[in-house]
Amino acid sequence: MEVRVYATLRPIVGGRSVSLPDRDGATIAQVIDDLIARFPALRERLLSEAGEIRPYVAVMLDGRDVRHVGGLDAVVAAGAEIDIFPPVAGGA
Amino acid sequence: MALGGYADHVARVDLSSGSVAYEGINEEDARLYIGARGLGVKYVYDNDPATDPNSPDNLLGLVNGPLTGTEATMSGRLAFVTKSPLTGTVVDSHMGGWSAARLRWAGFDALLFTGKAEAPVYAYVEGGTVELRPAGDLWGKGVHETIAILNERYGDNLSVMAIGQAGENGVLFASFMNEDDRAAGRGGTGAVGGMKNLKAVVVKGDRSTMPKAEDRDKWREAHRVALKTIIDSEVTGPKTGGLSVYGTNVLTNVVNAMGGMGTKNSQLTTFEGAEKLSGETVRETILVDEPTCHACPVACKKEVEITEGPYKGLRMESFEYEPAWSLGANCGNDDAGVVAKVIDQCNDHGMDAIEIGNVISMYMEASEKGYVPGPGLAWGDGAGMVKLAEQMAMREGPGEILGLGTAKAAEAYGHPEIAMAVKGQAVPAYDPRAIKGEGIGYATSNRGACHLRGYTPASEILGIPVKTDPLAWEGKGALLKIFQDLHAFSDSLDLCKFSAFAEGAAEYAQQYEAIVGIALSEEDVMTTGERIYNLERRFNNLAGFDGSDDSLPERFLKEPGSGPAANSVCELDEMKAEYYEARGWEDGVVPDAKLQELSIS
Ligand code: SF4
Repeated sequence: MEVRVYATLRPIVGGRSVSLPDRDGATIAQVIDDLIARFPALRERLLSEAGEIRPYVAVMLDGRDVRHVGGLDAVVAAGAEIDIFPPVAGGA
Repeated sequence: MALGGYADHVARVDLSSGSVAYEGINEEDARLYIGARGLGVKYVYDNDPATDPNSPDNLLGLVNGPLTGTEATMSGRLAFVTKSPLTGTVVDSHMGGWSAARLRWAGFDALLFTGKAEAPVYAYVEGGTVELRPAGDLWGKGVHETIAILNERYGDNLSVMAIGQAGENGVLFASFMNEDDRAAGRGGTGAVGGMKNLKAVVVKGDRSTMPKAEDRDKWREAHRVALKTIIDSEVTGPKTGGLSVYGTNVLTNVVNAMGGMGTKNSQLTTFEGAEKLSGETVRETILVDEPTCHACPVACKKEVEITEGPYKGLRMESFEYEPAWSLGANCGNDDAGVVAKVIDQCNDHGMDAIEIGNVISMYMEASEKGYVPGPGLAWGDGAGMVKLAEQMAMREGPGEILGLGTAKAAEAYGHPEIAMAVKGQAVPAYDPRAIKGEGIGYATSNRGACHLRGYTPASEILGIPVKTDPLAWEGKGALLKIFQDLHAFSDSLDLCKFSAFAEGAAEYAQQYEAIVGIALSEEDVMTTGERIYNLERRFNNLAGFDGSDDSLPERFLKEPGSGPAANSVCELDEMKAEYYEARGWEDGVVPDAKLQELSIS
């Protein structure tokens, strides 16, 4: 499974995406755990001390912020797309 | 005047007679409408909402706020205000850089132009006076050359706000540009300048006359708190936050991932080439400098140099998210060199880079469907886009019609349905099928389609002040009102819109109080913003607009998007009902009781 990352997360993983072993039926929480196991520096960027997704960080499952589709318990189907954004905004 | 912070000095320039009269600021208006946007709209309102925007009677104002040019973080902004020839509404269009600060340092809160000069002139502003000087030698020249000549003539500490050929030639989306390529981009302020034969406003001023707060201790604390929120923010934090590191174009990838990236004139909402134009790729490949504005540590501006292809060697500023979208996905173009080239043409000829991308994409769709004479233009034809941009500025070939803007040109081709525009102004870079708050935002904006009137993506993408679901319409009407009112206030101070990613009503109130000397609660901030928003709406009502104009192109209402927005359309009617209820409006019209409640007269 490919997890794509963006903006200031890219220097941490040294690229645009990270390949993780396929884990059919895993939850978003498990995918994030796998990711942090590979790149421990991501922990404080993605999760609060309580283990929740940090405010303003967007973890997207098939283009939907997981906050609106089940949160950390959302199940990742085979072939699903995951994109993770640090706080980003602009406007002009 | 009893209020601090203002220069209490305004110039009324009658271009027809060449006379300049000076006056102070009306204290009551300053209390009610603050400055920049709010006070500027009041000047335009008092000038008569029924004015023909193309007549000499139309007023063009350059208006500062009480914080402009002070030490306040992000305070390098002023508003160009007028009645828009593109939309027929009132418009305020802001530019950054140092022009606003210099205008304040030269002793002015506002310059108000009426009439029409017999021959081209520019206004020279220094030490509290304004002089009109002949501009015959500058007419016909681009913004960059105009600025170079004036710099040579007047030396350092100079700001030049000029129109290019587009404004001279009556392109209805022409803009005023300054020496840092910052634009008063939207609404056709440059066309008003051109109609008035006003080529430029040249301002000489330096920091030695920077205004200082009366109450230094109070100011130091207000400034410290506001600056700390900017520095600590994960969005704006200098050299750490996404906005600072990648610029506004950090949005390209996230909006595309959400299915919110209008593609090929909004026929789709996802674009395969997004990554190639994103802030991340720009930073990796073509970024050469990171300029900023007066008193801003964020430095979100990104300067690039194209390294390959026909535009190799082009060095330019303003590779922003909006034009990266309007000239990129929207035109089916993934070539960063083409995007940079057309933005640079906009900077030099003085055109709105959002509108022009929509004009081109509309023309491309019209070409595909056989609505235009001749071969037209194919999706992604970069060389053709560059040629067409030139033709628009010069009003040649198809540029004669296209210079009227997306909506009027599509109308002229007999197919208004392919214009992605509201009240005559083209849409920005957030597709309302994927980010629904922007749907009600575009529809109800008082200056035609606009994302900056009420920036709901702060909530729908980021979670400021709370995270809302971008695909849900419920609650968006009420949410939009809050953003619109808050931004109307900050636009009147005048602080950069991006302050709102970190600061809120409390920080705005504290800074206003320290500079102006009037205590303001957070509630007062919101009520003042509401007053300004209602004054604009009242202007538009008197100019003939009502709820039927608060609309969206049918495409957004009937044709679903693609990717994550594949099953989604924009529920405009539902959101409009919610929004009017929150506003207390009757079918888009401000009732008398509301005017009274807000002390609007
Ligand atoms: S955040 Fe960007 S646009 Fe705003 S004042 Fe700073 S540099 Fe200018």
